[in-house]
Amino acid sequence: MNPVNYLYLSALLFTIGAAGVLVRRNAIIVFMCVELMLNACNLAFVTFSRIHGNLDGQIIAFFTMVVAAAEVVVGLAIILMIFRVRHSASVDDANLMKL
Amino acid sequence: MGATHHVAADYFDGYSVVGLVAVVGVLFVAVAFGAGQLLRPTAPTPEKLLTYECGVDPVGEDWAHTQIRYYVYAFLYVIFAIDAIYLFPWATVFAADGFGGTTLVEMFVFIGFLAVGLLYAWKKGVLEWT
Amino acid sequence: MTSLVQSVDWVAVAPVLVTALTGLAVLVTDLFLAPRHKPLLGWVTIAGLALAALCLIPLTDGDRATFCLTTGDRQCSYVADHFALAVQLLVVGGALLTALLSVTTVRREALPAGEYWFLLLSSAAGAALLPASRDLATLIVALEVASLPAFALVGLRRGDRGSAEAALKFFLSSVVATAVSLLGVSFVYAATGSLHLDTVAGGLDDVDPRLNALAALGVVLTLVGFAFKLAAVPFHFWVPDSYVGAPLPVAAYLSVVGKSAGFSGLALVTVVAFRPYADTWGPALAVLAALTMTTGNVAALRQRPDQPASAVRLLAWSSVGQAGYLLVPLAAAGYHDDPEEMVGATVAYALMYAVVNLGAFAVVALVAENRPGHRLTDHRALFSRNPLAALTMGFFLLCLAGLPPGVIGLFAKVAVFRTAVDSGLGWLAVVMAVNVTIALYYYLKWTALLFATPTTATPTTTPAARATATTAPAAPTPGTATPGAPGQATAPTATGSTVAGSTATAAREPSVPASVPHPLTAAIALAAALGVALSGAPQLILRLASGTLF
Repeated sequence: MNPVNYLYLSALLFTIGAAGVLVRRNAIIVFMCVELMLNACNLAFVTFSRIHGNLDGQIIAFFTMVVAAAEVVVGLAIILMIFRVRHSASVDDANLMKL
Repeated sequence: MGATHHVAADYFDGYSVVGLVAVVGVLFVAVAFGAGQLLRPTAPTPEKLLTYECGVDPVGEDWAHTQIRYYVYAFLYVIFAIDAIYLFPWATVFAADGFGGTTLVEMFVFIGFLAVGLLYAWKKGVLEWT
Repeated sequence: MTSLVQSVDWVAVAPVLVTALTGLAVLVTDLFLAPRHKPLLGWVTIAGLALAALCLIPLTDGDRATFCLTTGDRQCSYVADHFALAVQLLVVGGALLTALLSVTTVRREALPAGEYWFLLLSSAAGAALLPASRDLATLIVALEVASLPAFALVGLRRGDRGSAEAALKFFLSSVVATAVSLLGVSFVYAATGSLHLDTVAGGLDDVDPRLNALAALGVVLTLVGFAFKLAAVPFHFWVPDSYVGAPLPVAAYLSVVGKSAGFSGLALVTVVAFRPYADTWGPALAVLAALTMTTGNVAALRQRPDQPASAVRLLAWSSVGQAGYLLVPLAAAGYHDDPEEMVGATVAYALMYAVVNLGAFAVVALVAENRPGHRLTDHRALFSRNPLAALTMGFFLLCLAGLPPGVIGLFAKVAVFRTAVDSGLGWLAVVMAVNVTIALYYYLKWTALLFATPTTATPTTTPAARATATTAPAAPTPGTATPGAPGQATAPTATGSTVAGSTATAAREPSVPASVPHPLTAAIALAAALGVALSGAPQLILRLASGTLF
């Protein structure tokens, strides 16, 4: 298959991700869109690597994958922490109402 | 070259019926909803805009908390599964000439660093199901 | 069959490696340490960072390189040249001062000790790797290693909503910037077929004309991720909230080491890799520099001294303004025939800024020992409570402003200014001069606040007389002389409603409080000693500004 098609797909994925980051307000969905952007970059890297016939692009794609995974863990931990804080805050409010 | 093209063309012809059905399906829904949109009167009231929940007034919000006990395992899994990708390029070369024992040891050093993460998780009590 | 295993120059990578391994050691030790021994971890961290700084000494020739390709043009991925060494000194030294600041914070705010020190060291290791890396993959990985622990550090205060939200804001915007940067890298790779900076420079020299737009777009997008770390406008909006939400030492760390990661990455990609596209990134950086310093300084001007955390907010905005100055030589490099000559001025300025800004944060932490609000008004009349702290703070602020006796601040600003003039960026030089003048206002206002006396010799209690009495010592600057200024209206302990009241205040706060923790004193003393030494012998860092570092 013509490698350019992969580039179209990559551009499409990156655009969807970028639009999602700009439009959506839910932290988790914004975060998923960021992952989409990173994976679009990966696809581009691997395709360019194929076009150039060298491995540099594949190597950076490996590192991008690990960077993305590390971001997932740190990001979800932060988001969880926010949910937890807000949850406890709302519980406190309910207690105040009872008193 | 030409023959393979023919085969590929035949192959994709087989799917043209599927494509046609999909297009008809999309059109059917689009026309039905479009016609409905045009024909019906619109007079929204707060009650009408409520989420329909078996006819009863909806309770609570659309965001519900579910208890996911295993999310830390999921995090650990993500880290370890992704780091496994470094094993694949290594696996293709470590047995080749000129790499030898050093390359083998290097990978175990790498896995050792990952194991420190596991040790951390274990000592923090994350691996126990409470 | 010869061995294909590449040999690694461990001495060259030692500064990064020692930092990272200390981090790992701290994390593992923490698991097996009884809670009462936890403070030891802070000292292990400080020792590790000092060791990493010592590891820079055998490298001073600046001719080491490792992780090189064995074929082709033998490009190296890690080069310990003078640029890398100077920035590594900044990073390791900055992390060391941050660690000294953190010792008390970790104990007082009950932050998880092992995790805190591990994250600090990991981030410092990434920031130390960044200036030495010479391929785009290593640069991106180093940038992420420097950033990811920083997100966690910002959000480390458990159950604190401000901390968590600051971390989320910082995290999401930073991750988006990284993704955009990666897209840029992929475009550059598409145009050149390589990731090594020198090969990229060669490849960009003769890009297929059809790929010209793609390469230019890639160059600009790649800058985004680094500009974000530097907090250049318009990628600065996370700064004030993150600094306020984070523990104070982490804010100090972000303002110095985080910025160093940004500017060293920018310097490497622009001056080394994208040199053929100087006509694209030169104007972009010049506009970025002008916007950054103007926005930062104007926003710093608008801070109200009586607001909670106004001191941290002011330092945050002033750090945005300072980032603008750091960008000026990089922009100038885009217009100069010999771009590598320009970068030195940025490094020299960054070293000066690191010392005095960390010092200023340290004094803010010291003041917060007694008055934890981080308000500017808490600094009122610091001189009468703690003369030494007030004098050092005054010195740091004057260095940041660029006025004598902060000679080094002045010289570093002149060096930056000269790069703009030399490369024909007259308009940027003018913008910078205007901004330095704007910044004088708020730095001097703060300095005057330090030396304002809470009480006067005339024992009057009438409100009108009190107003004149309290405003008189602050007369040199117009801002504090306004009788209705909120700072004076809402700082009753500082202004003192009666003479008796203010002497009571003075009695409660002895001139050198016994409770001042030693590490904090050490951090202030170290920063002050470095600042004074540099002011006495500015050539120590101005040497960097003349000649090339690469």
